[in-house]
Amino acid sequence: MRNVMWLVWIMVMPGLVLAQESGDSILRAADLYRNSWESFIVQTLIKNFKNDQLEDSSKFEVMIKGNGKSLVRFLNSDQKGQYLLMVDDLMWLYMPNTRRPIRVTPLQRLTGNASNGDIARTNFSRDYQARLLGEELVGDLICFKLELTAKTSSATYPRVEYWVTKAESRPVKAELYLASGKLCKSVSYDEYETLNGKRLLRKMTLIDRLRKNSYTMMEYLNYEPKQLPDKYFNKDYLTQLK
Amino acid sequence: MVKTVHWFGGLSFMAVWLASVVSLQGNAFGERLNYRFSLFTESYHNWLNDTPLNKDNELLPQIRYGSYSSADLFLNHGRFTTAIKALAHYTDRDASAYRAIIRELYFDHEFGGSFHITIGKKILKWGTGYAFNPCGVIEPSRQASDPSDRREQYQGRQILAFDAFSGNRSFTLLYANESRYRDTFHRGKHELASRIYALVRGVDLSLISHWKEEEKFKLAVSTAYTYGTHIELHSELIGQMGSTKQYHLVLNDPNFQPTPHSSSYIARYQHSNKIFPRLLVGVQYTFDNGISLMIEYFYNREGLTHQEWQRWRKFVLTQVDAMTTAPPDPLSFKHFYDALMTLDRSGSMRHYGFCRGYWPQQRFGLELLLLNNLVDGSGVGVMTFNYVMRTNFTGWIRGEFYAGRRASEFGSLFFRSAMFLGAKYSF
Repeated sequence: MRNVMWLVWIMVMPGLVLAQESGDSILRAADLYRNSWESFIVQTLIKNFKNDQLEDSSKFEVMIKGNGKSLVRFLNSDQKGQYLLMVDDLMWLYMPNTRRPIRVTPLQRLTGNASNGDIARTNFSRDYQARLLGEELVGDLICFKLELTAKTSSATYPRVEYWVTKAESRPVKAELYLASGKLCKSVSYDEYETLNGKRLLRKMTLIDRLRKNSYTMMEYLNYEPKQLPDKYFNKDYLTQLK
Repeated sequence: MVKTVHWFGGLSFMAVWLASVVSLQGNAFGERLNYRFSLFTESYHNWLNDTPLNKDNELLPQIRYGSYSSADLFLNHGRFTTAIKALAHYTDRDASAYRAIIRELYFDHEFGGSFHITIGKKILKWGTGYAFNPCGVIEPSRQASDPSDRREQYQGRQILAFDAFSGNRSFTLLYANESRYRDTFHRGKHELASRIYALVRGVDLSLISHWKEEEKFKLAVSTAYTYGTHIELHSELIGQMGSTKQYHLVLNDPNFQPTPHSSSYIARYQHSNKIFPRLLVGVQYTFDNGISLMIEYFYNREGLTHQEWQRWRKFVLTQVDAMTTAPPDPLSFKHFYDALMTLDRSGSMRHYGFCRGYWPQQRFGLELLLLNNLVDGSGVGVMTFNYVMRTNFTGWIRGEFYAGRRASEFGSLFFRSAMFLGAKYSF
């Protein structure tokens, strides 16, 4: 009996490792649609809708460097001077009138259905381990279905189900789950654009599954590859920012 | 009429100055203009406390109601940054004011990618505390009951600073001086300060030194550490040998009698080898839904002990008696007033507790602050409800409530409670 179990284990294990490996590599490829450069800036417009009526909108400038550093600058007139800094697993919100940056969490709501982590993180591969569950048809697209499990404490959601096209590894939709196992948000990756030969995400929609008739549209505008200085991601430098 | 002239004078000064900065910078640098402009208005009503220190609000009549309005402009273009304010403050007493204030005005030159030189008037933020800032040796001193400075009243210090940034480390060396020209030149005291900041194994660590002419040399350390994604611990510790703080002589001698020709104050620890620390420790917990809870404890050895506070209070009451009995002592008001003014509220006592709870929602926010004197149990509670009426238009209602026995610190304040109703429009 023990020998049979060993045999089953030996046969199954490589498959599991392969699923893990191919899941991670698909995830890394899918991340390139939002994270195409080592260092770049992108303007993000967030529109919140309720009962299909636009409630409000907010604009941000997101500066990304490497895999774990991001700085979000608030551009709305009532929020100017505010910054959200994420360095690896740590996240702070800086408001010009307060003395110190305040610790916040990635899941905390930033605006509408968008959490801090939704805007500050433009990749999944840093925070999640991917497992390939199989193939599924989404609309008329043949997609890989991935199950993402959080591997860092800075992951915004503990579990994500993620569909990317089989042909291009392009994100199509995602379902985001809370620690309780409850479905929290559904995401559809709606539009892409081509810039300097790169396919980039242009628009995505976050649908709140906990609040009815509410959804948030995130538009990525003006991707700009730019070498950002390390000091921008130094917490101490926040007080120097304008 | 004079006030009107001041008002228009202030506005014209601001307009000319603003135009010059914008035009100069528009030509000199191709960088974008960053600005924030807001209109702020707040009306308030104070309910007075019938404290024996200010019986029937007669000795030092206090404002019962008033209205405060300001226009605030923050402007940054390239290397120049400024924050200016025009304010109007009307009260039921003859204390109305119209002023234009330059809160910040500095030139910031960056070179070599990692180095900065700053010259001008700037608000610096050192340390990790929220309500108290013992490490803020060159910061404006903050009010623990309004740590977010909602009226944007704090002003910068005149500094010449050098900053170097490298990865998660930075170094600052600065010189500060508050010299000013108002009819005649007033030379300020020389100040030097340095700060080394580093993120070491997840701990924000700052080492600070500060020297000021005629004051004691200070060394400080501040830390912040995040445990998991929800808990942040922070601390500040500053120490000095001896103290130049002025203490009222009644604190040494309960039977002290002030005389007209000699000072009633003495720096009693001027030559002492005693170490005077100020310590702040705090913890913040942030829930996933955004609710945050912060607790801080502050200790200041330069502050008064409970017995010293009682002596000081008894002395003030003696002066009150001398003023109200016939014939009144002509000097008693001076002694009374000096004693009140000298007592720096934030450093008056030794042990304080602070607690802040904040519940942010999409359209509103609710903040609760509690500041407590841990020795006599008195305190102040502040509750603020913010409502976002439109994206750039926010209104709020704020209540401040002072509680404590008659002989306690907050129970002795001239106010029992206050209510504020305000709005802010930004563009």
